[in-house]
Amino acid sequence: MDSRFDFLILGGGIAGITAAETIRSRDAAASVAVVGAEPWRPYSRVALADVVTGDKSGPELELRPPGHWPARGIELVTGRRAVAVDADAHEVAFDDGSRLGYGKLLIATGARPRRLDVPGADLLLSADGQGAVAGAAEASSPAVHYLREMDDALRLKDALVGGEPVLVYGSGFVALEMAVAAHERGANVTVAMRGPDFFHREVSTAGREAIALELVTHGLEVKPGVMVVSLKTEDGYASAEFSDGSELAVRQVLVGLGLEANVDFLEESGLLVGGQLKADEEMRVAPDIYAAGDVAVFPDVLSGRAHARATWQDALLQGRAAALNMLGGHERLTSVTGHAVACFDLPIAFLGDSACPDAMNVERDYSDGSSVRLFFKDNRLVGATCVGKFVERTAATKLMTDRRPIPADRLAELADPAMPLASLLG
Amino acid sequence: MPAKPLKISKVVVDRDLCIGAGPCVVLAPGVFQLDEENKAYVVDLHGADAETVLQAAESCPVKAIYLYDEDGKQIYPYA
Repeated sequence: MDSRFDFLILGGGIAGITAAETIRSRDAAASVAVVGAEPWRPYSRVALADVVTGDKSGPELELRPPGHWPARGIELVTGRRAVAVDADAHEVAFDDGSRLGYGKLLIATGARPRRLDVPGADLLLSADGQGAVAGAAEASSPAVHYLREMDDALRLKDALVGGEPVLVYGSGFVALEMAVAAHERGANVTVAMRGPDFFHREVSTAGREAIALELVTHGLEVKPGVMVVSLKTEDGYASAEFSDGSELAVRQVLVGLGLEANVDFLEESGLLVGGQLKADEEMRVAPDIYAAGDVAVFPDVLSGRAHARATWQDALLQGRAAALNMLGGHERLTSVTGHAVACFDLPIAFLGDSACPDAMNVERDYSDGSSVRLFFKDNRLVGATCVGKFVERTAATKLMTDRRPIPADRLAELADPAMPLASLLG
Repeated sequence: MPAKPLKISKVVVDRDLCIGAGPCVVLAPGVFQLDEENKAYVVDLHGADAETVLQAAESCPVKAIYLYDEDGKQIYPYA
C-alpha cells in the first residue's frame, strides 16, 4: 500500500468533491483524498456545451480555485483511474500500479456515454483520445463524438466548422444539448433518432411537438424513426446509412445515446449485483463502502423504484448524504430534485421521477402553449415535466414533497388545465 | 474557510447564465427558487445562514450566483 486515507473518494465530479468538502467541514483532522480519472481538476460537467460553442474556455469551468484543495487539506489526485477494489483489505488499486488504503470508501466514478455500435463507428476516430484530431489542421476529419468529458468538448469545438453538415444521433438530454451547441457553432445540423421525438417517455405530446417545432424553426433537420446502421468515410466526409435506406454525408457524427455506469473496475470486487452498483437509501453499498452520483443505483423516495439519477442536483445531494453517513449519520435523500434544459428559447423542466415506467400519466396543455406531463404512482404525484413556462412548479413540487394521495376521481379532472394543481393541496 | 464571520449583504443571480440546474434551490430553498422559465431568483436574502448561502453559490455549475459583503465587495465567485 502506498498510503492510506480515512476517507478515500473515487471520482472528481460534483458528487465526489461535495462529499470531500462535506467530510472536511465536519471533521478537521481526518485524511481525505479525491482521486479522479480525468487529467483536469474538478470542473462543471453540465457546462461542457459552453466549451463546444466557444462561450467558455476549459479552465473557466473549473469549480474551485486551484488553491482550494490544499487549503482544505484535501488530497486531490487527477489522471488516475481505479482498476480494482479489495473490500476485505480496504484497498484500491490504480492504473499506475499504485494502491491506496482507506477507512471508508466512496465510489463516485460516474458514467460514460453509451457507444454507437455499428459497422464503421470504430473506423472513425472515437472520442477516446487515441486518434488524430488534435490540431486545427485536421479539424474537419470526420469523427464520432460524444460529450461527457472536457476532452470531448475541446475536440468537438475544434471539429465543428461553420456551414458544414453534422449528424446528431439521439433523443435525450445530451443529444439536444449537442444539437443546439453545434447549431450555435454554425454547423448545419441534422438530428436523427430511433424514436419519434425527443424525450418520448418523459414529455407530453404537445411538449414534444413544441420541441420539434423549435428545432425546425431554427433550421435544424429532424429525422425521426431511424437507426444509424453503418458509417463510412468518403472524401473527408462520414457517410451515415440509416435503417430506412437513406444516406447522409456529414463532417462529424455527434452521439448522445445515454450513459453506462463506470463499474467495470468493480467486476472482481463482489460489490456488483446484476452488474449494478446498488446502494441503500443511505447510499451504503457494503460495510465502509458508499456510492454516489451517476454510478449509484438506489431506491427513489418518491416512486420506490431503484435507478440512477444523473443530474447535478442529485449528484450533489447524494455526495453530501453519503459523506454524512460515512461520518456515522443516517441521512436519506428526501428532496424532490429536478433538472432543466433549454431547446433554444424553449425551457424544458424535469421534476422528481420523470421517467417512471409504470406510472400513470396525465397531460395538461395550457392556453399559452406550455404543456405539463404528470406521473402518478399509487395515486401520488412522483414526477412531472414541463415544456414552456412551468407556472405550476411550486404546486407540483409541494404535492411530491408532501406525498399526498390524490383521490382517483380528482386525477381524471387534472387533464383540464383550468383546474389548478394547487387545489389538490387542500 | 474564512477567518472572520461571513456576512453577505447582497445576492445576485445572473439570469442569463442560469441553466436551472437548481442545486441552490435544494440547498437553500428559503433564499432561492426557480421561476417559470427554470431560472433561479432570490426570494429572501436572509432565508438561510450565510454559510448555507455560500454553499448554495458554490454549488452552482455555471457560477451564476454572486455574493457581496456590506462594502459591496464581491465574496463569490472568488476573484
